[in-house]
Amino acid sequence: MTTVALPADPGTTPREDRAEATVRAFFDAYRVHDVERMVDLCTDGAGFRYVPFEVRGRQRVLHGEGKVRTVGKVIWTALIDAFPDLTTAVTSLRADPDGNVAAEARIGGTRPRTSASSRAPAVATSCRTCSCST
Amino acid sequence: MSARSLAENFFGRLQAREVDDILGLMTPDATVSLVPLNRHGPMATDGAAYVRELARSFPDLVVRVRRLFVTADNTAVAEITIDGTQADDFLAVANQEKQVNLDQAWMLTVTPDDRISAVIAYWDQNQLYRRLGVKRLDQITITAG
Repeated sequence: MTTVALPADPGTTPREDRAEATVRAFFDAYRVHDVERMVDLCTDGAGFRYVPFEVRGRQRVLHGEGKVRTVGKVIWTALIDAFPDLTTAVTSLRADPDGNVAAEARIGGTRPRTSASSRAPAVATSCRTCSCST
Repeated sequence: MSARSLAENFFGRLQAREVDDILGLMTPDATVSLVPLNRHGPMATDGAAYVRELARSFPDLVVRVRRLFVTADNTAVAEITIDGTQADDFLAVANQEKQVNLDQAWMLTVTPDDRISAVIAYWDQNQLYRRLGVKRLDQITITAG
């Protein structure tokens, strides 16, 4: 994921601290499934790149790449819809003086049965991920 | 040497498939976590084995560093893309001479005396299997033609 972070506190704290605070707020919003808040924490033109997302179209492969307000919002919403108990736990945050932040997180959830797959069991999944933002 | 140039050197040695040179950049007790493989251990054994397998399977390996920054705790964070043509079995997947390109994220912890003490690597293993033509994730040795 690549986003452009807004300053969480324009005061006198070092840029690293403010960038970390913004990313932590982002994941806090993710944890409570508040996609609007996640989007609000990004600048208007923030870019988005979700590496694992690939869908084979008729003529080309569609990638999870574009803007937060279009592609990102759709993918986050779809993930939360697919995993209603989606959990997100940040295990480490590291920032540099330019506002770049690397976050390691564990994301997990259970995909419930749907009417279309009523014979299939609910599937729980969990994965450790890394995302970088600016 | 800064953490940034050390990381650039690391990925340059990775592209050149120079395993011993990579180990020369490490502390003796450096650790590695290859998260998608759930493989965690000493760089000298587990990390070296992975790099050797990568080097053998992709003799035309290209490592492109797309983004690199160094955080306040002297960790070099890199987004890279690896490209190559499979020329041997890789991670138990039979060789079909597939062209592979894969985005990865690496974190290299750098000591004050400019050695790498820990390596963490992330990528999407399912994406790698798709690139290698794996048909069934429950039996990765079954590949598509």
